Amino acid sequence: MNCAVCGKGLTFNELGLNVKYHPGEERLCADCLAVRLNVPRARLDEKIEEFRRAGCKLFAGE
Amino acid sequence: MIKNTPPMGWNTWNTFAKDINEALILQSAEALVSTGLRAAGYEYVVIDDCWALRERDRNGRLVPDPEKFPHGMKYVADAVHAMGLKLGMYSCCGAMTCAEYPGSLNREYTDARTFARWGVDFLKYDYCFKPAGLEGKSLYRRMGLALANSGRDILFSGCSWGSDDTHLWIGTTGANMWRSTPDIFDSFESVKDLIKRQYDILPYGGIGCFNDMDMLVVGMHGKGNVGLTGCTDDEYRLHFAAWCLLASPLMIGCDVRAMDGETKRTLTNRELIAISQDARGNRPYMMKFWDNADLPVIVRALANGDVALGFFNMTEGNANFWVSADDLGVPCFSGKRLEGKEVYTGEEARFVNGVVQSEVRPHSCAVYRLHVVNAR
Repeated sequence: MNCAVCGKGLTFNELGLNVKYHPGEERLCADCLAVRLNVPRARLDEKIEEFRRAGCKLFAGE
Repeated sequence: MIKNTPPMGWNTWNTFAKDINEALILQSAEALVSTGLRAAGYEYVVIDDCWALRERDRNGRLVPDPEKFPHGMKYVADAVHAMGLKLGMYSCCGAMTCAEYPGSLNREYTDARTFARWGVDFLKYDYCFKPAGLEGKSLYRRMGLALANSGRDILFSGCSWGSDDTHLWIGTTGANMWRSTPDIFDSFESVKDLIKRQYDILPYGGIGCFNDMDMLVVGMHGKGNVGLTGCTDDEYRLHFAAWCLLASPLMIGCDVRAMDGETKRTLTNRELIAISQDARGNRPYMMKFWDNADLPVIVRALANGDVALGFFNMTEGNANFWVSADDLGVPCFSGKRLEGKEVYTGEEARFVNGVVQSEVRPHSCAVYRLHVVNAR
């Protein structure tokens, strides 16, 4: 699956970010999602780690 | 359970997720009382996911995690009730809850009786791990009937995120409120998105089964499970006002033990809560100012003949809103006019030649409670 904005291939964790923050048919990579949400990219990386440590199966270790 | 006003309370998920225990619940319940939130109407203390053991007992019953809830759930319910509050809990229509604890699939009647025995007053019912071959409406009807026959009056809070055309069937399930949106997170983009999703589904909510726009993020300031960027105080005020005018349940999601003054002021705004809890339960309607979905105008007729009017500026610049009194139900030459105050600032609504105008900052709102009076 590819980012609907830039075409980059999506990682498992980027799919998880979409489930959490951008549900719907359009899927975005983390960079484009950060722009869409008006959030620093680093904050999304922090949230991935937070969710992963909490046991959320939408995110895997990298 | 017949619910004629949007339920109000507090829920653990937005801030605490899995980090819940008996002490947190009871401290939060005490905080609801000591801060005046209970007096303002917030009555449900809802324990969301992650309260149970990972497996049922040998009788197939759900078991509260004894490390988190050493005295069991009836103890918690009794303590919450003693404070004049009601206890809410959580399950899911699928094989597992969203955090992979046991779901209520095929155990609806067992679990409803369990909740009733404990003294639970509210059940949030999620939609994760639903078998693809089973329809959500059937599963929700099962739990609705199970709760109605459990021996206790338990509010049924459907949480299917609007999936599978929830709006078309939720009214048949016995649910008293229904999640009409994806999950909220603590950012203005999320608040804005959830408001805009209401344009097409307002007709499906109202007395008996309220459109649930998800739990409030007011006061979270970027912290906690659904914390992201946080919002400004203006944005939180816009968020709360929209939820009140749109008759969404009001479930606080921040840590009520540690609210700042502005958060408490927003969450206890008497005018907005009165609009939210209006006895008539009239459905609101939304108009897009200049056909712009980021500039919603929300209107709601109230029980005593007043009208609530909200201008919501979700754009990046100032906006000059106006609405004709005619659009609100007070035509020219009716011998009537409208007057009233803004709910946050107390400023008088400015009507000129039958038109009310308001300049609203970006990411902010102006909400008025207007009274119909004789024209001078």
